[in-house]
Amino acid sequence: MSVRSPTAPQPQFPSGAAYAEALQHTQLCFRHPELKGARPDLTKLGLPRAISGAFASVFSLTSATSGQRYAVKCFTRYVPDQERRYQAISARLARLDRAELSQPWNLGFEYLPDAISVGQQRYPVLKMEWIEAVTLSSWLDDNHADRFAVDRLADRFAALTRDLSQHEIAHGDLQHGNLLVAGDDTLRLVDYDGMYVPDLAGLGGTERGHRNYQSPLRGNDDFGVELDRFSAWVIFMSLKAIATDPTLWNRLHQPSGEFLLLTEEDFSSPGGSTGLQTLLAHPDQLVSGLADRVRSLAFQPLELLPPLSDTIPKQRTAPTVTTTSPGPAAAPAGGAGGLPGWMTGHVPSPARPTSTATVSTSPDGFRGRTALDVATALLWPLLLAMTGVLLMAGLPMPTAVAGAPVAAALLLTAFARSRRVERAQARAALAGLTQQLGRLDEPVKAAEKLRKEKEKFEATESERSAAHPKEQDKLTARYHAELKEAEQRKVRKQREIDKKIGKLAEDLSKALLKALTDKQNAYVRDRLGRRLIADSPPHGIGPTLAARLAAVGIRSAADFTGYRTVQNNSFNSTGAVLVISNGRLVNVTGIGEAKAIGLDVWRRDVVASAVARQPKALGTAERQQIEQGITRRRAQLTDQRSALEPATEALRVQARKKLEDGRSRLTQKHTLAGQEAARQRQEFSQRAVTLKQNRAIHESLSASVEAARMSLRRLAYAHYVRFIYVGR
Amino acid sequence: MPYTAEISRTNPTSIIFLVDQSTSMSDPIGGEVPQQKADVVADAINRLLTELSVKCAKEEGVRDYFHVAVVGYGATVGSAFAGSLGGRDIVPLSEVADNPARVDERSKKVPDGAGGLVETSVSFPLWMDPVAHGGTPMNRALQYAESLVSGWTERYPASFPPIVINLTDGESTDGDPTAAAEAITSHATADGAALLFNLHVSAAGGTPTAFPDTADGLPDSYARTLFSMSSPLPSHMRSYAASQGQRVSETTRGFVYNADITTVVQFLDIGTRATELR
Repeated sequence: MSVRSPTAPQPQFPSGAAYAEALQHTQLCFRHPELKGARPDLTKLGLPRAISGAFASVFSLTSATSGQRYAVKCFTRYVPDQERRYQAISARLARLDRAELSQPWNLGFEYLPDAISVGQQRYPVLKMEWIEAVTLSSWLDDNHADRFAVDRLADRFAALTRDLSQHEIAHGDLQHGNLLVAGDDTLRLVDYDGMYVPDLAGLGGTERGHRNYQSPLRGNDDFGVELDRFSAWVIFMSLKAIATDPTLWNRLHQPSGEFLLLTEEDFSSPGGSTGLQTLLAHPDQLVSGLADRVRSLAFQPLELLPPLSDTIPKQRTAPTVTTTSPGPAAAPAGGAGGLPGWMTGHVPSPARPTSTATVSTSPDGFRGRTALDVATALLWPLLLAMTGVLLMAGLPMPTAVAGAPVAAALLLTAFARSRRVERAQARAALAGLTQQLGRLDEPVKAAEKLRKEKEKFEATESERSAAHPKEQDKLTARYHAELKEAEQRKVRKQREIDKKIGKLAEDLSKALLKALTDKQNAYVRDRLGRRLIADSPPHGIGPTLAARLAAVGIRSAADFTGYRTVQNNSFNSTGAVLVISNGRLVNVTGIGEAKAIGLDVWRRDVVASAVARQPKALGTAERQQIEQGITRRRAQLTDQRSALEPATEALRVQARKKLEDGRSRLTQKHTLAGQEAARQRQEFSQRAVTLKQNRAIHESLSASVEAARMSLRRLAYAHYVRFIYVGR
Repeated sequence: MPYTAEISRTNPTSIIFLVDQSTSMSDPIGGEVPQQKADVVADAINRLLTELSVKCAKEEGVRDYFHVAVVGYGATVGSAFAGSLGGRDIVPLSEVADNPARVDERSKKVPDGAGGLVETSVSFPLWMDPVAHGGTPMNRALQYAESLVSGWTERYPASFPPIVINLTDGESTDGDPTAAAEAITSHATADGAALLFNLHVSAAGGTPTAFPDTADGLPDSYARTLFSMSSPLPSHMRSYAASQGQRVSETTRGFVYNADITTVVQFLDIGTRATELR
């Protein structure tokens, strides 16, 4: 199905590794005289060393002919109008007069179409001058404690942004990796891929810039002179803050973090951000003011953002070490109503998520004596003197009266101290911070709660995982049991039928025999019935006796079966009774034992002669009828037997379906449970992340609370007494 | 929205390769020059490790945006790294970059600039060797990966979730792998559930089925199982796959059936595509 999508795919560029491989043979891959045979910087493995970004990999190449070192940018992604963009940027930058720039921040480059051969194709490169400089972030790693140097760099940065906006240029991706610091601590700007120059007006942007430096409102298509404004404020604020309070670098910047002091989250949701809250709560008003400025700018459309350069005084080389407001940025450039420059143009912003910034205290201790303070200061020596005079006068009086002036002085001082705004402010600050701290869950407890919940979840989860194969096994076991049962049933039935089939031959012979016997018996019975006593009487039976016999129903040989001897009581002699066909005994007058024997012998002769003539075999038709019966039976049984297999198969299919249904139900259940587990774990991860952030906020707030307590202590009675005389 | 976390050194992500090393991996795979499947897969991973190293190289060296594990499964299940990284599980990319088992010289024909071709040799770092011996204990391999994934999400709860890429040519010989696969994707960071992609390498030479969004049309239950085990592609990978000429939809999954040599390389490229490296 590797079918091309309906929209034509973008032209493909080689990967960074493909360029690195081609650059193993610069003699072959380049045609440009400066680059052909150039020597690349190598990695530990001896392969060309790359510096990669999202769109390109840059290699350092030292020309074999001139010895000049270049940075050669090889593109890994298609950028629309790339050549046109670079030509326009190159032309615009070439027109800049380096002497007029605040520092030599621009670097020369040349766009070379079809310069490098990779595989079977040729691709463009950007040949740039190599500059010896370090990125802003690594420079800060080494120099953040040097307040003078950082402050000077902040001003140089402001000057650089002024150069850019004066010439209607926007870099598009101002950030710690594209701002380099040269050996003389001046800035260099690199990576012009997303640069805007007036000739490119109307084209779209090629990138959105580093997310930790962009306004939440910057869109994909924004491309104009105002692209850098937000990031310029972010960088300037960060540098000024570090220059004011170098500890901020270690507190807010993570080692190898891809930002200075603030990240994307600080701009998009300032309420929950550690960095911005710390800066907003900073005792130094320059820092908190700039932070507040950045916070409010994050909610304004790019085109409404004031350029940094308009609000910053033009030349500043002096260090900015003082930490008190109004600070160095108080120059009236564009200012109105005597506000510091950076406070002008302040557009109302969404409600503050917290009041941290407003309750921040500065400076510590009492400042500026009022008339009341001065009066209190003057009153003390006066009242002390009064007490001295009273004591020296030697007048007898209670100590209470003698101490009255001192007590009055003490009371007055307490009153004057209570009128000082600093105390109310400091208390409010402490209360505000304590309240904020109270709103935060205690991180250690929250972490413990999370840990316990996770532990419990993982336990049930592992139970569930363990149960799954067991449930599967149960289904399989049931399936096998059902198969076995069906098979056993089949075999049992088969055996029964086979037994019946096996007996059919015997059944046939039995049936034949029975039919013959029945036929013979019927013949004999018929013969006996035909031999009438009256027609051929046995010896000694005359017509009278024959008539008497007929009277009790004995007319033929078939009508009796024998006789029984009986004892005649009256004559003490033996007589006989006859046994008739139904087994009854009849006494016939005149038939004694001798006559009975005679009758019996007669009957036996008739029987013997009938048996001698009875049929010896069945007729063909009779026989065939019986055989056909058996054949039908055999067919029935065979049918029953062959029906067993399909019936069993149906049972098997049924069991299989039950198994499959069960399995798919189980799988579905398992899949849902897995998704639910993923959701739950995702939530745990989110809580862990929030917890980490909260811990930082908590630490920062705790430090602020401690600081607020310290400053409240500096407003104690003794401090006040010192203040009314010393003035601080 | 899930799968949007920026990948940084403080929030790195991990890529875990599961490499089938069963006996059948010694079968040839279609292509201009027939090669063993095990060779193709090892080459693709070695190439990808170089690629990642270059992609993450900055002024000061290779940055640990990624931590990588290469797990082999065949006669045994465990780290497939050779050389000094042998036996290690998840290794930071900077360490990977500096410690290949060896650097081979391979001959290659390149254009000589005058319309012809000239044979040169290029250096090719190798971290793993092809192995083809034993069964296909996919269940154990997936369980191994799950323990790595679980440890990772615990350690980096805010990171882009771990990516597990399973490269195989045959049916699991130690039972249905579905449950083990689901166990992997039930782990999650704040940015979403762990991803599991499956690449089926074929000797059959049929048309590859790449990034399908339905199991319909897959030839057998084995292919359907692999499909159901595979995670949907996150949106940035979908866009990238589309820019590479793949047909994708909202529900496209990270799965290729019957992959040939080109598709193996492309699949790894798409499956390890990062959101944004900072």
